[in-house]
Amino acid sequence: MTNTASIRTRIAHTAATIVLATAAPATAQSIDHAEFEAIFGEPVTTSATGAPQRASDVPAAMTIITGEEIRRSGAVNLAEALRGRAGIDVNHFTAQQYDVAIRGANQPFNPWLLVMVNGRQIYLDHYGMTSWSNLGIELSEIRQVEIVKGPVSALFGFNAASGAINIITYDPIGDQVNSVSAQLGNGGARTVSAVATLHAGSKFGARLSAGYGEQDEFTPVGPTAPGGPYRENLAFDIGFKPSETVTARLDYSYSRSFQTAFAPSFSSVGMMYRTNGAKGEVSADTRFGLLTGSVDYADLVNEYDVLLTGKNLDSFHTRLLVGRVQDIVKTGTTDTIRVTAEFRRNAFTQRFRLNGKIAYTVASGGLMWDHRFSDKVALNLAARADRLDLGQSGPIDPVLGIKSTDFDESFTTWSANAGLIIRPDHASTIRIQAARGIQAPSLIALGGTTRFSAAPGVLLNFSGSPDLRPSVSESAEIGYVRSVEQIGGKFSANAFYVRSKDVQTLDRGVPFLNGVAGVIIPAAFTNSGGVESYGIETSLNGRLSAALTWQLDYTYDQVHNHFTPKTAPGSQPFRALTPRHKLGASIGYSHGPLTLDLRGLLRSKVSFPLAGAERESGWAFGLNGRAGWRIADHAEIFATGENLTGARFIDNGYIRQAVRGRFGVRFDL
Amino acid sequence: MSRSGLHWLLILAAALPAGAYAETSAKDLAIATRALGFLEPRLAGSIPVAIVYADGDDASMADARQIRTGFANSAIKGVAFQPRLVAASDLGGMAGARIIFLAAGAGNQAAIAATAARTHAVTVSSGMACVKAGRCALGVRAEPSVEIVVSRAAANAAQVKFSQAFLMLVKEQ
Repeated sequence: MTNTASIRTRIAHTAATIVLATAAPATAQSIDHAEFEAIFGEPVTTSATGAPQRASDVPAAMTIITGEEIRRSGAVNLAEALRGRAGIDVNHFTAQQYDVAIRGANQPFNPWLLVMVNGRQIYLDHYGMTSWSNLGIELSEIRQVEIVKGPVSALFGFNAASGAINIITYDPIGDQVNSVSAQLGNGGARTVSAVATLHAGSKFGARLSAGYGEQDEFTPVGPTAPGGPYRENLAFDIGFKPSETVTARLDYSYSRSFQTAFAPSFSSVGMMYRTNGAKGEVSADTRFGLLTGSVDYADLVNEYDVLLTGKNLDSFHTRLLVGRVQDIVKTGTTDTIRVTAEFRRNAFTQRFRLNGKIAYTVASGGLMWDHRFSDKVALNLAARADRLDLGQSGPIDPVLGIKSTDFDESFTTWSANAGLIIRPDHASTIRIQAARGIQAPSLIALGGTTRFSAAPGVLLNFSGSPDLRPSVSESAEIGYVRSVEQIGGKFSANAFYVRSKDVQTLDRGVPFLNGVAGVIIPAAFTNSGGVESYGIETSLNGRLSAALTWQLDYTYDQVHNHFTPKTAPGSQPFRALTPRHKLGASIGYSHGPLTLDLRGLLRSKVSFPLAGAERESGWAFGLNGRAGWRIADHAEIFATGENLTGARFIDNGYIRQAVRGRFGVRFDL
Repeated sequence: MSRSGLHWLLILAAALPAGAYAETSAKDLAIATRALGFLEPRLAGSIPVAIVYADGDDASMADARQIRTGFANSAIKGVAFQPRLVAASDLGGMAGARIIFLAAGAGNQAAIAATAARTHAVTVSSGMACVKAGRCALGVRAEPSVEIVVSRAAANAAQVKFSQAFLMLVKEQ
């Protein structure tokens, strides 16, 4: 290296260190996914431990779905592409509302699964949920979706209690992605999507994306919100490499969606979500390790129409700011250490500001140690501590007699992951794991208030509880993975046990008379008990020829509720909504310009608590498919079908799932 | 191993020509050239490559020729490899090489490692023994599964540095 180059490198390192010292954070997303995948013949991920690892080396039960698999699934919503995978539950409640859960215990607005895009939280803290129509990105800009099954709070913090999904997009500098697609279908389905990448030399790149989709609601059989569901996204992702060893990345996304949603209270409600999210990240390869610093910002407005009148009753507004610094260093030939520090501030208001502003700060620190005892045995240990301090400012709702000082609450939690990897031979891996994850109370659960008239002189009142405790998930599992050369594929099996305690539910209390407001029917968030689940998940895939691939996934999941008697019946769907058996099967054919894909899911019965009664939905078999024909080098026409068998996967009393077919054209430029 | 198994193994070994060993496959070479992309500072421009073969060993020479073809056809962005064949005993012939690739069977490894340390060249082999002995900085094997090993001792001796992310994904010894 010349002296000039050396000086430049030092300046870049110094600049990066200054930036890291003043800003901070994030997981190491600046690794070259494409190049590493080309070398190792398998995806590379940072979502299990924070450090880059080959998919076959991770100390976690992980499923990676590639961008090509998503495209060939025909899905217009990412959640649809996850359906039928081992250990993953996907509930499609309304045309645009999905809830995804890991290892059962699914529920409307599932709070136990942390969803991210490039490590930036998409999970919405106001209710503790993910709106799958508000990912803020287009499916065609996804490189891979990394699904970690089991608690992983020791890496990602709160709400990775049952698992985490980290969506990795293409690198704006290293990848060239340009595509335009449009789809038309029955049920008023219309979708357009565009992604474009611009490069200036080898050090700067920007990717822009935009999309819009709408459709009619599925067949209503009960009250639904006026207006059909839609979603719109706009995003950019900019990368810059000031030197060989320093990478800076800035991304932004806007999204807006509307849909009738099946709420945790088992009623239908109109929901509009508008999100703005941004993340700035600088990472540097230094002699002190891989240093990363980042700042995330997320803004959410959620308007809701609980009376289904077409007018919004109230709105929630949250602002989240996260700063993070991380260093991953290989301290010897066999040891890797990750050190993380994080600070976040989350503020929440409602349009009517019954409880003024609720805000909390979280200070966190984490450590990870990975040690390779030999070529056959490795150990990974990770731990993290989080301290949350809650506060309130502004007016206080007089009806429930709560005081501002009641919000002066705090708690400290710890989470951990331990994984032992044993490789008896080059084709097999045995994994033994234990983990502890945390689900923090949502902002609404801590201090929200919603009140509306149920009848003249009778008000329903939903309110938060500032003294709510976080839920804790503890898990143990053993996994086995083996490459099977004879079928050109892989077999994997996991046996798992998960125990969650201090589960937060919304429970109704005893009605009381208020001199001003009339009769109040209160409902409040409480820590009301626990959930236990155990089961097995297996997957087998292979290749019958160069053109024909197949996959089978089977999950057995047994869920038990353990709730205290004070809990109103029907408010914990965890057992009822989890099918005991799920069998997914897919087949894909590709020859010349033709691609054909079919994916089916058979699930055992589930039931829904509606109006104090269980509404049972028997065994169901659903089928999705896609057929594509490449009409030119860069153009494809295709047809997709969703729920082709007309299965009633969900019978929630409000909406019945419909068969959806779409025709489309796609240009990859 | 049973006595009869050992017997047949000895017969098989005796039947092999002298100097027979696993040659460097095209896949080994493709992975090796990509792995070299994670050197810091990054390779750029014209890169001289010495491909070392065992003196008087036809199999080793054939392997070296195959490696030379692979390097010549390599399409690493911004890099033009300039491969040349060098006998293992011809240490002077390795002068100026940025990469010294040991073909199958290439001996004289201690002297080659000393030369690489002096000239700051990266020593590469698809034979893991060279890496395990601390004489090659980078070992690559594509089958039965991709295995990349970096010898920290050999890399340090030659002042060769790989990116941190790369080192976390491979085995170091």
